[in-house]
This record gives sequence, structure tokens and C-alpha cells, in this order.
Amino acid sequence: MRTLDPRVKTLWRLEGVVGSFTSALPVYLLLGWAVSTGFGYGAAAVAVIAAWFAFVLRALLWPSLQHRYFRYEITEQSLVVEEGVVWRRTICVPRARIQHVDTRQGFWERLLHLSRVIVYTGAGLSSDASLPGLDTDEAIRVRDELAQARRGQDDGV
Amino acid sequence: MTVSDPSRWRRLHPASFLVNLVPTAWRTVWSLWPLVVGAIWGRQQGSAFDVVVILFFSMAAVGRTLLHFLTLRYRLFDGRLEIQSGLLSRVEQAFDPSRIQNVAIQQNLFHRLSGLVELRVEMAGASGLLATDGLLSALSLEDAEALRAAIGRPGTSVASSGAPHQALDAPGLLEVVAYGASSGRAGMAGAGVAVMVEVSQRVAPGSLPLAPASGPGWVGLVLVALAAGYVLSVLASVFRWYGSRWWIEGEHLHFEGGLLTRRRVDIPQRKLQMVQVSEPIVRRAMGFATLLFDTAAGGGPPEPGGSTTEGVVPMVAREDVDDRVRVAFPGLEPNLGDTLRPAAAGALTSAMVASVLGWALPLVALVAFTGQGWFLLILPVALAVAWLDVRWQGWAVTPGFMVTRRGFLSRDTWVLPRAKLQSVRWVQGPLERALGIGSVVVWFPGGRLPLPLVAEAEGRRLFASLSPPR
Repeated sequence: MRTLDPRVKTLWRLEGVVGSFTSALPVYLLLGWAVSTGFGYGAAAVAVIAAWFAFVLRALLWPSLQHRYFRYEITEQSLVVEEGVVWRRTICVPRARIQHVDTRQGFWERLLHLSRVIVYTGAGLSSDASLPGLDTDEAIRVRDELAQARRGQDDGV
Repeated sequence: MTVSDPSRWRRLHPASFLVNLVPTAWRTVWSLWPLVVGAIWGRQQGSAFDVVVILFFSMAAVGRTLLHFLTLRYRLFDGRLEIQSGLLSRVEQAFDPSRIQNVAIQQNLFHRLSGLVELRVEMAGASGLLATDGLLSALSLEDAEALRAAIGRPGTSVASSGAPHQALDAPGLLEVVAYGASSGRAGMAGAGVAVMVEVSQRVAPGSLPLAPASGPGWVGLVLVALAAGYVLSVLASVFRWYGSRWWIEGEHLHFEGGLLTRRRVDIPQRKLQMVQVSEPIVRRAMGFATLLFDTAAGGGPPEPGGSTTEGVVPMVAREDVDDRVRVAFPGLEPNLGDTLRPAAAGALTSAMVASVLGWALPLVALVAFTGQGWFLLILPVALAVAWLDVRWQGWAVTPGFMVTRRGFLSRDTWVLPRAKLQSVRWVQGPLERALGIGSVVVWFPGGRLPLPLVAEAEGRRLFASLSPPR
């Protein structure tokens, strides 16, 4: 099975560190409020700094594990993805069922020349499988390979 | 629709605006119910702000209805149904008849008084997210019949009052009342009222004038809330399901019912994705079950009381369930529900741990909030329910179908044709890995369904058998 481009670890670390300032903000506010009501503002500041440090530590260490446990394989019949560090998932998407395939790039991905391939079937609720952190040229090749029409095959919808 | 010129753009019936106005306004008021409750019972009863907000949204509903009537056009062109609507944000939809999942014809009270119908076309996809529905809210009967025939869904006349085909099930009034009384939502509504009163008394004492101060008064209030919940549930059931019946005609399943709003749904057999057998404990004790027929439209399994146009049979005698499911899926092996395999041994441990983790925080918060230690007794009850749930879980995979069952208080059995599976997953959390078990989750058009936890070796075999060969 194939692994993701190693640069994805840098991507996830960047996203994690930025997220420790932005998306984690509600956690800091809630934690600061809860601790300050019982132990004062000094304790609240210590708790918030500790929480920020934990988020940054996770952002730096976790991507290596994520990368290690992420594998994918494109066969004649299906796309198979293995992912997850704590909750492990093996996903099999029959190629005949694929409705459309997207490639996406965020800000950091553009800087690192990486792309994400997202696969949709008729299940329709959300993407069925996602391959993050592929080199952009490889992502386009994978997208085109997966999107090849499976003429004459039932899409199950 | 004029048969001689089907490609001409056509408009809704001129009475469309009036017919849709009241239901649209009602939906708006319903969606603003917290404001309405606040305006009636809040500290500043009928405050100008509340009234202005309610009036603003009501006027917006009127404007939306008028805009819908003025801007909507439809036609049959190049074998497709095309619908245009919108003023500032223009929407153009094209529906390939071969891709249509359901066609529903509905008449609310105003439609019936004016002799009009609403026609709804549903395509595959997550409705609401991808807005794949086509809605023609007021057509004459002749136009609706012509349109339905033109997109390949001829059927019995919408206006016919008799039963042109032998109904497979046609629950009477008593059964419809029993359906409402056995709905789990009734008790939930009562409990919800009780919790709301408790919270309001804690946060803003005296804001609800009916809330009692004494213990016996509380018991009385909860009983009244429960009774009100049951009455509302029964009334909703009568409005929704009175006169309901279903039948098969050729390769199409037809469902109809409703007291004031009559709804007729037509589902081609080949578009069926799943049949769900719902057996809440009270309904089960009465000897009945509810059948829900799901297609790829609607973004998920149909709700018995929801707005989805997919097929629902509210009350079926339990001994007939197997036959009825095989009407939808003729290839299904008989009595498969009686031979389901149980969940793995470790599933009970997993369920117990999940139950403790799920309940611990809310219960601690509840005890801290109310000061009532007896709330902790909920935990052993939750553990007992979890045990019963696992005890009744089951699954079967045959060459053509998958069957899975779970739940004790509200038991559900799902039947899926394997030909409809979109993707399959093998999922293990840390506890499951330690216990050597895991879950196979299948995604089908419009939803996803986990099988009960199975032993790892068996789960991996199952995953491989449901996946195409590599």
C-alpha cells in the first residue's frame, strides 16, 4: 500500500500550531473562566498556558503517528484507505460506485505544493474517502484515475 | 400540461399563492416557536421586539410565497423535466426521469378545496444540502397527471377516492390512534416539558407561572406533561396517517394517507435502498411494527412523522412484516429476521463502558445542578438498557442482502440489498482492539449503517466479502 507524501507532516504541524491559537480559543476561554471562578486569575493563566502547550505538543508529535498509520491503495476494482491512530478505520470504496472526485488545496497546501483528493459516492452525506497531503501532480493523476468512467456498471443509485 | 406542446414554459396555477400562503405562514410561526413562547409567557410578555421579529418573518414568508409563484416556470424539454425559479438568485433544475427516486403528490386542505395538487420530485442526494428536489406547489389535476405520465410514473388518479388496487395494509382509526400512543416521542415530549420547567425555575424562578413549588405538584406537572405529550402525539398521528394505505402496481410501490393533507408517494421498486422495521416497545407489545421504505432521496432514512416523501406504513401486524418486506425485496430469504447472528461477546463490555462514559458527566452535572442524588439511579437503568440492547442485536449477510437489528426500547431492523452498497468500513476504537472486536459500517445511498460489533476475524472476513476483489 502507498503512504502519503512526508510533507503532509509539516502541513499538519502548521495547521495544528495555527489551530492552537484560533480554533482552540473557546477551550481557553471556558477553561480560564472555570478555573478563575474557583482558584483566581493566576491559576487560570497557568491553566490556559498549560492547555496551549498541550495543544502545541500534540500538533508537533501527532502528525508523525497520523502519517505512519495512513495507507491507501488503488486497485482495478476499488480504493482502499487505512487511517486513524486511536480509532482505526479501513475504508473500501468500489470504483464503480464513485460519483465524482475533487482535488482541493488550502493556503498551507499551496505553499507546500500538496493537494487533497476527495472521493464521493451516491451515499451523498459527505465524502466517502479522502487522501490528504498528496503531491499536487500525484493528486491530479489519482483524481483522473479514480474519476475514469466505469461505463456499463451499476452505480447502485 | 398541454400534451401537444410540452416544451412550452408553464407557470403554476394562479391559485398557487393563496393555497401555499397559510402552510408557509404556519411553518414560519412553527420555526419561531421559542419567540412565540417567550412573547406569551416571558417576563416581558408581548414585547414590541418579539412582535416585530415575528411580523418580519411572517411578511418574509408571504413575500417568499409570492416570489415562488411569480418566478417559477416548468416544462418538459428534450426528455427532461426543467424547472426555473428565483429572482435575485436564479435556480435552474433539470431532472432526468431515469434518475428520479420518488414522485409524490400531496394535497393540503387548501389544495383540496381548490382542486389542485402539489407535485414533488426527489432525486438522489442529501436534500437540504444539495437541494435536489423539484417542487411544483400548485398544479391542476390534469397538469399533474400529464406531467407524472410524461416522466414515466403513470398511476391511479390523484383524485380517485376508491381503492383501485388491493391495499396491502390499511390501518383503521384505532390503529392510527395506537400508533400515536406508542410513539416514543410522546413520552419524550412530556419529559422535555418537565426538564424545561425545572431549568427555568433554576435559572429564572417565577418565569413560568404554572410551575409548582412542592414535590407532589412536580409529580402532577410531569404527569400532565406526559398526558399532553400523548394527546399531541395521537392527534399528530391521526392528521398524518388517517386513511393511510399502500399497494403495489406493476413495479411501483404506492403509499397514501393523511386527514387534511393527503399525500401520495410513488416509489419504483428498483430505487428502493433500504427497508426499516421500527418496533418501539409499546407498539411491539400491541403486536404491530412500522415499515419505512427508503430511497436515495431525502438524505437519510425517512422519519415516520417527518416531511420526507418516502414510503411509510405506520402499522403492520408483526406476523405480516416478513411478507411485507419481501414485497419490496422479492429476492429476500424468508424469515431471515428469525435467524440473525448475535453480537460478539465483547460487545456487552463495550456497550457498558460506553454507557458509563456517556452518562457519567451529564449525571454528575445534574446532581450538582439540582442537589438531588437520586439522579444517579439512572446509571444502573442505563446499564440495564444497554445490556438489553446488546442482547437483542443481530445481523445476517446473505448473497443478496444485509440485515441488522438493534435496540430494546426502540427496536429497529434494517434490510439492505447488497447491490446498493456504496462503500464499506471496518472500524475499531482502542477498547474494541483490546477486546478483539470491531464494527463493519456500510454506506448506502442516503445513509450509513453500522452492524453490531463482531469478532475481529469474522469482521475482517465480512469486510472483505462486502468489498470488491482487489
